[in-house]
Amino acid sequence: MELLQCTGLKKVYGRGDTAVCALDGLDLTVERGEFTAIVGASGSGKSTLLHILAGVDKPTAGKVLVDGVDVGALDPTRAALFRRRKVGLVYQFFNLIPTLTVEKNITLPLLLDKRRPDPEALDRLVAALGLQDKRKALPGQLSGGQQQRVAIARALCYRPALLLADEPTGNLDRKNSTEILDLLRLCHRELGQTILLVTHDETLAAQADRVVTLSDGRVVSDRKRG
Amino acid sequence: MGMWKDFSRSYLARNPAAARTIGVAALAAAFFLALLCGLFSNAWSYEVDRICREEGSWQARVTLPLTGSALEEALTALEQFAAVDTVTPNAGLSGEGATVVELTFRHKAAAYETLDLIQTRLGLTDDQVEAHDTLLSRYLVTDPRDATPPLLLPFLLAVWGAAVLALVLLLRNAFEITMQARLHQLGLLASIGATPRQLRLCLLQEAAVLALLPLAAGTALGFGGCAAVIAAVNRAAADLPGRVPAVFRLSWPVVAVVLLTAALTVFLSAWLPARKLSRLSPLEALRGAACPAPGRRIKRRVHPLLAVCFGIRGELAGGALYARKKSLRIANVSLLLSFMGFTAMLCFFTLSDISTRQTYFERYQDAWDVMAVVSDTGLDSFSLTESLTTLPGVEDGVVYQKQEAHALLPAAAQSDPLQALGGLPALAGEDAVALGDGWLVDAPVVVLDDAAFLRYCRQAGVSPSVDGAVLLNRVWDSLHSHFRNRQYLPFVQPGTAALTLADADGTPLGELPLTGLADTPPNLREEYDSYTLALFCPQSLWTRWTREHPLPARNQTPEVCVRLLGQEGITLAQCQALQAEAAALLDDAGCTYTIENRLEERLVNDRMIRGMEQILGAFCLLLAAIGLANVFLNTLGFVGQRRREFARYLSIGMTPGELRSLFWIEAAVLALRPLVITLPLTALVVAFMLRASALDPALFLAEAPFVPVALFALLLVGSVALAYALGARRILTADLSQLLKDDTLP
Repeated sequence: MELLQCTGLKKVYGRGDTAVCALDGLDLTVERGEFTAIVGASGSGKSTLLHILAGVDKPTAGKVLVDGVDVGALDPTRAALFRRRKVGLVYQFFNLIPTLTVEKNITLPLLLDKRRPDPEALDRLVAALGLQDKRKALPGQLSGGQQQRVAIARALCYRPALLLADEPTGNLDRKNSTEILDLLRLCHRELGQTILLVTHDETLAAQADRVVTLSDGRVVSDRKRG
Repeated sequence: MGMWKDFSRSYLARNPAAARTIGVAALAAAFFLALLCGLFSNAWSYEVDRICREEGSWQARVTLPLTGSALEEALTALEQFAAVDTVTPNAGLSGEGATVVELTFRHKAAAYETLDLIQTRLGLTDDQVEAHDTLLSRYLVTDPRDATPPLLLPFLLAVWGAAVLALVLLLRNAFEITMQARLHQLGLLASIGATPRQLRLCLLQEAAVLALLPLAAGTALGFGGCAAVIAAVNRAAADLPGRVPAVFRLSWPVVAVVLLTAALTVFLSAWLPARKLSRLSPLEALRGAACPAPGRRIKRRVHPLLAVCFGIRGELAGGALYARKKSLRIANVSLLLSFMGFTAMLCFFTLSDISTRQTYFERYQDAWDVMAVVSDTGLDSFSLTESLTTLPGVEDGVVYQKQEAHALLPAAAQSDPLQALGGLPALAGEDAVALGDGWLVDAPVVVLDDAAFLRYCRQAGVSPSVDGAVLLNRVWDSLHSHFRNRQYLPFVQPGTAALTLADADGTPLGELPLTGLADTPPNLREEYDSYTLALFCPQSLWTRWTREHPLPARNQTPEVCVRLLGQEGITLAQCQALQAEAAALLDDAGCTYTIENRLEERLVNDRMIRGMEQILGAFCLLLAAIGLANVFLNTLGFVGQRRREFARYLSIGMTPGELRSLFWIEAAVLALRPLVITLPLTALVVAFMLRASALDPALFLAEAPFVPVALFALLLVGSVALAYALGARRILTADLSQLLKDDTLP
């Protein structure tokens, strides 16, 4: 079953002579439960795609359906609610709120909806990510790897349809990078989480079920593992 | 250097907001600094001029009981003291055999020390040496032997110093805000090999370019404002009798101090962040040093109230405020102080106005319209009684003499109700002075001319006779009533026919016969102290009695009071006319006197209070302006950082409405904090003061300054809301998603 469907996706920045085409009629489909890596050189359109999928940016043309929602047609408020409930975003630089504890950071999307986090589910999530003894810590008191784990926990807390990770290991050393990747794989395997991982690191991408390569805003290759 | 110049110039050209922030802060800080310093120095010199005008410009006076060559010698000796500047004999004050010499000192700080030396050298007594304390204290020179030196000037200096410090910090804040925004760019420069020294120089140059012109303009505007304020004060006080108008003086040392303080602040403001910056690694600077290094101790502050009221958004807004706590400190403190000062001042003036009216103007409304006090005169030598009390327009006039005396009150002479309560000490406590088997009681004697006395007798229900005095037979029952609503008991036994007057130490002088006892005093503008035996005596009896029983010397400086009451509903003009006529009569008779009229005194009193309200109110507004300037700086500065913060919220799915609500919560906290702290506190203090002064709360509520306080609060809330609305517009209208894509920003 398809979770994500992009058809003729186009994104142009600027106008006239200075116009830059980041996505040029991209077509992409992702099945539910798939772990897909998007690779490509700098400027190939990876991050643009990710931001359009997350509803942060709007396509110039074409259509994006995520879990049946036409993301490009959402107004800013609906786009925010979509982001909060349907997708989880993980960034290279964690984007944690420095003034909130780890626990609050993780449950933030729920709290914004004025929902009480389920204590048991939270315990399981925190334990799975190895953050049990850091629940009351502030992001600034954690290492880079720990901060990224918090970010992943936050992205997963709402059980989103789609987890979007933008260079999640870009700011980490080898050991922490491996740990984060293992975590993503675990989520995929145990929870059946659909993951879209954007990276320029081929070895990292090789861990995914499927590797899609972008160049100049188009899909130039689409390989499935095994 | 060229490269740095280019770098700065292009940065500033591309970031007009940063340039504007610094420019406006420099202008505002220099303006307020110049205004404050200008007003302070002008007020100070006006005060010194006033003292010199009214009391003379001498700094010390010595009375030399010498003549001839001994005097010459002493004068030479005085001139030889190193600290003494001028020695001028004052012919007007000198008498036969004693010359009064006025001194000024080269160093005022050495005045008291030198005066001690002079006293020892010339062998003078304490009475013969006098320092001009009020004048010297204006130069912060006080008598080292004075246990309670005047603290007003040091207090004002401290207030002024605090305000200057706030302005200096305001300026420094502006630099820090823009400096934070520049960290990223400077990180870039550092990463390509700029040395810390080069970075510092770059920042300093930039600061100089940005701030010099606004500093100069702000200083000029500030002194201009000062001149305008002084002109306004002169206009407002133009018709105050005897006031010399203030002249605006531009003192160059003050201008230099203002410019130097401002320039030094700019220099330090630029230099300190630059130094901090040069300690960061280029990578940290590139990231804007937003995320502290792991493992560092970070304090977390939870805002329970905000969290309860607004949930997670409250917590986020509280966190954001806490993170900017340092740069918002001036705003918080000055907004709180301005609102608190304003509210407290208005409440205090309202209370004191009600109290003054009740205890003075309204109480004596029917007692006097014009009052003259003629000094060093007894009633028997005063010949104007008839002509004063029959002046046209006078409804009722009394001329009387006041005399201090004491009376002996045997315990048995006390009235039965008083004895039943336990006697005088039960009511008066320590004020009752025991003497033998009774008490020594103050007995103020009011001597009335015989005709007025007889009128009083009839009014008080005492058989009219000039053979005895009338005793006001009442004592305040302090056990069962409050001072504002007194109940009285009879003081002495009903049949008391005479009272023994005594010296201050209790030596009996003689018996004063009483013709009767009264419950009410005659209608005079007099207050009789509690627990005193007030006596009203006809002039003929008093003259006779004092001839037979001479009063002690210190009680022999009588003064005559003239109380004139005009017709009901007398106008100010009629009051003034009556005063002029009475004054003319007194002048013709060559009397030394003071004269006042009730309506004008009321007017002057009102105007003085209004003037004080205006000055203090302006100071509160100034404080508020400093705080609000800081709020604007904070909302319009920090834009880069705040955009990143909001981009982060955006990424986790916060809606635009929720993003805006974060601003409103922050604004509400900032604007409402002064209100929330001040209003209950003021209510408590006012309740306490109402209780202590036994005023009716309804009276206060009817006149409470609700409207001005609400307006001031509205001004604060409105300005903070405006600052946040502008800040929100600048931050939220930017394409925040663009920030999320910029990988170089954390």
